[in-house]
Amino acid sequence: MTETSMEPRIFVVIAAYNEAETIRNVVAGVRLLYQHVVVVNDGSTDDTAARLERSGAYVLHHFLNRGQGAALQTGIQFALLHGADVIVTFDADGQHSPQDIRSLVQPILDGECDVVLGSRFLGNAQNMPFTRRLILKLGIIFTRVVSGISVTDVHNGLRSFSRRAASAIHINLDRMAHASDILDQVKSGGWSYKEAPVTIIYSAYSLAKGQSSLGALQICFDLLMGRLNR
Amino acid sequence: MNIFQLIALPLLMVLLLMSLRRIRSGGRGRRVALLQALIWLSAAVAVAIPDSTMRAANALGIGRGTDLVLYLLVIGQFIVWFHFFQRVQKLESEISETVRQLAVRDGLAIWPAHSTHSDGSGSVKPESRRVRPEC
Repeated sequence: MTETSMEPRIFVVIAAYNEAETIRNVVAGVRLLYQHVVVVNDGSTDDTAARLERSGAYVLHHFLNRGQGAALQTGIQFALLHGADVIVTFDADGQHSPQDIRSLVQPILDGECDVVLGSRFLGNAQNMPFTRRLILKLGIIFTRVVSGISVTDVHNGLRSFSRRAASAIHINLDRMAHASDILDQVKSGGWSYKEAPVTIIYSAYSLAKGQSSLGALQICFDLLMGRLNR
Repeated sequence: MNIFQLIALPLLMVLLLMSLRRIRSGGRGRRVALLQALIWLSAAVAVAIPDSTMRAANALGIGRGTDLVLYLLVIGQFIVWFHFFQRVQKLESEISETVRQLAVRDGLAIWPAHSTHSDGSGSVKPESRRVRPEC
């Protein structure tokens, strides 16, 4: 892949915590399509760091585990310093499809909006557990009431920002509530946004690694308490 | 004077004197020491004059002195809880920012920032050969 100075610089940011099993394949899959991949190793205690050597990605290391939100913010900051025009966040556990990135990037390049949010409910969610579906549907109501933003998928790690939106939005909630924090700031900052259909692949690995259903309660708590501190 | 008063009052006096000393010495922690002194003094009055809490409660329309003490304790607990929660949130945020800046700094040492962007952000250094990650 070569890039001229006139082409928009698209950066894909991946936060990784103990993803030794998948990270190399995930990075390789994204790099087939996009040159600039930033992986933030969020204090992993397994072989994630070693698996990232010579992967072709920019690799940043959090020496302490700070959470996915914090790691994504680190990657976004680095991407901005590298002149990113569009920044995409992408999961490290293999749930996302690199082919979906295009539909998140194109609307921003076309000037349609500043933020594109991936939605599995507009797209395809393979093998989604029933409880996960229920909680996400309840999350839609919660998000509409608390943040005043209406989206079909409130917790999707596949999203994109224009440079100016990424510069203005600062992820303050470090852990899993960061997804709700981002939606909150998209709304409060008045950023134009749209949703794009994406595929989420639930594998035994990603389901085992994913958060429990009770984690949703923690997210609600973190978001509300985070607002008190603003 | 009963046994409880004989034990509690000297103890409260000692705590009160320690707080007063901290207030006089100045510096950080004066406000906390002042609050502590008020609490020890109130406790000493309540212990020394047992029906003082009852009189205070009646003045506020509350039935019993112990109820008043309980309500004040519950309110005080919430104030303390919120205060420490906010402090912990702030600390967590500062830790994350520190870890972030170290990670970015180390990353920029390997892959220096890109040359100027149209909005003026980013470094003005010419694009280094190391900007593109190695395959």
